[in-house]
Amino acid sequence: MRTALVIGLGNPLREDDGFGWHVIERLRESAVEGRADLLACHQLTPELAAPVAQSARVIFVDAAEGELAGEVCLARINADVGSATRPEAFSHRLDPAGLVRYAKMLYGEVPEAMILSVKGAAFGLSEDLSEPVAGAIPQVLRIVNELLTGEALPAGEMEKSWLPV
Amino acid sequence: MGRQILIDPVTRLEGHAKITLHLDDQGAVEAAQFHVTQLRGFEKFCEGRRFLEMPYLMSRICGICPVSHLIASAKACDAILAVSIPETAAQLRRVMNLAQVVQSHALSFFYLSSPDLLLGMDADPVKRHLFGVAETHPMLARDGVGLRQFGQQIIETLGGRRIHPGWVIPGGVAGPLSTENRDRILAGIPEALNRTQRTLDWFKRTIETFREEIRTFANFPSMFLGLVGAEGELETYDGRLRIVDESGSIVQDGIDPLRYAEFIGEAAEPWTYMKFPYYKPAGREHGFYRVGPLARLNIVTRCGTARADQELAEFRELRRGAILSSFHYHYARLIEILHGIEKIEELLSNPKILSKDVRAVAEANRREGIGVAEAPRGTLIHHYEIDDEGLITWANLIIATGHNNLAMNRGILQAARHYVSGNHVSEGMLNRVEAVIRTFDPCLSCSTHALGQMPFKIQIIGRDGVLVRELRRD
Repeated sequence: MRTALVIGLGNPLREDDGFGWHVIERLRESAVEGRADLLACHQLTPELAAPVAQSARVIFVDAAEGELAGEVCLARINADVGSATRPEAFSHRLDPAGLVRYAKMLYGEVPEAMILSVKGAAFGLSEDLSEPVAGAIPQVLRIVNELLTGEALPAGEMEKSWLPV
Repeated sequence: MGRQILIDPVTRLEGHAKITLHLDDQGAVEAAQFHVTQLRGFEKFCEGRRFLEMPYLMSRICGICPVSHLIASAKACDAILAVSIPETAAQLRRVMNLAQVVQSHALSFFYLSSPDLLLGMDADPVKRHLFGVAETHPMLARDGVGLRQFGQQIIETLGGRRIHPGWVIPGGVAGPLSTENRDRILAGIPEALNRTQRTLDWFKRTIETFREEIRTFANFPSMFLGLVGAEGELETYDGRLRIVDESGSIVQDGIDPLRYAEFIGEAAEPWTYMKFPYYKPAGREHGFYRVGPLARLNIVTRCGTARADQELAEFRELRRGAILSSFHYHYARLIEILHGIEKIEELLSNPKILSKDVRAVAEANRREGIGVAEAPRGTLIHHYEIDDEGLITWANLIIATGHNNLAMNRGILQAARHYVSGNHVSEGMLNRVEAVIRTFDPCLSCSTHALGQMPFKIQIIGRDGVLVRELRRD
């Protein structure tokens, strides 16, 4: 049965870069656990194409660089536009757009894919999140819940952002 | 005046490095160097840590083959505990190591090298990658994804996660295998075998088209080293070291891995962070050897599983004596995937694999321990010494990729002399020089213990030291 997949992406030892892992941990403790498959990983490897292709909806949760720490952005991924990284150099690591595109090429199936990111403030050596990024977690959990019920990003809308709480 | 070509970074490797080609006055290649441009330093910074932490700490060396470091390190710690671990624990470790061989070889063959093999060495680099393969050969790409998933899922099932699992511990493993998990793994065997056989059949049909590469890709006499079982069969977890020469004759056999230092020396060069292990009795000049899948198939009497043995017999028809071309690392890798899947099925089909007796408990009873196993890329050695408090005072790691360092350097020189002319340098020529390195599937993060990133580049440098051309990818 096609279901939803939430992938938290990043390095949990590098402060805000581990945001995706923190979100997945919180989702595991919530009711979302039964409605979506949850995965935390350091990198998107090509073999993730199979579970991506088997899912109706994929939400990538990641940290991003930017000036306004704690700002949350949600954007649709267009599998036909492709990847921002150069696959010829490191062909066992993909970005979200590249992974969705790869899944489409291999299996002909493409899920509705979105990336939910938070602007980070610190990327040093720590397992803790900075204050503004930790503060964004409740909002991100709410958005993930809405996405799983189809409310957060109405059809046709490509991008949306929320200022820090 | 001589010149220099630089390739930086070399792509589709585990890690980063660069190649320098030195040209003579006529523009012919007269020397080549494979530089590993990072230092990690695990041997040093583990000093002062409790030895019981070592397996988990050492598994952090690599994201591709953490299981091999975990196992070699745990075996070194078993030796410090002076325990004989339960048979089921040894077999479970063996299953996990084989799963890693399968997933790592699948990554090397399908993700890193298949773009060269399927799309051509001269294909446009803009298309010569994972996506190009998916577009033109989706079935083979799906088989690669499926085999890597198969190996990764076994590691996750046993160790709790796919990368850096901590389940292998000093004295055995942290917990037994459940019937449900065993059955889940076994259910994936038929499809994994089909995927491997399909790829092997394709590769054997295609191999003739690479006659030139076979002839020139690190194709020279050398010795080969690895572990073998009691009857000379393919062994990745235990066994004794065997060395054969280019004719396939045994140079030395039955070497207790604990005596590795009597046979393996390590040299260093100022232009690379990777050391140069050599066979001591032959000296540094003549003592170079190869390890990894090609070496293992050259040293064994048999694989020990039905389908892999059938493929081994065919493989050996390529040449009388040892198979010398490093291009055949690709072929050997596929046979080892087949063996790994068959062996996992055999091990899991034994009811004893479900035994709850999986750990021996003890305190440190020795001040020194050595652990040796076969990693996907070759023989891996961990050697530790501890003080009265059980803290590490000294560690030596001889990593699979390091054993191949001399051969890789000779290999790029051979290929560069054949393909590269300083007067006309094409991308396809330089890709072949890179592709020689890819046949060895070096894991540079493993072999240098480096911090940070490794870029890769090829340099062509003239005799006057002037840089003629540099190719780099950041």
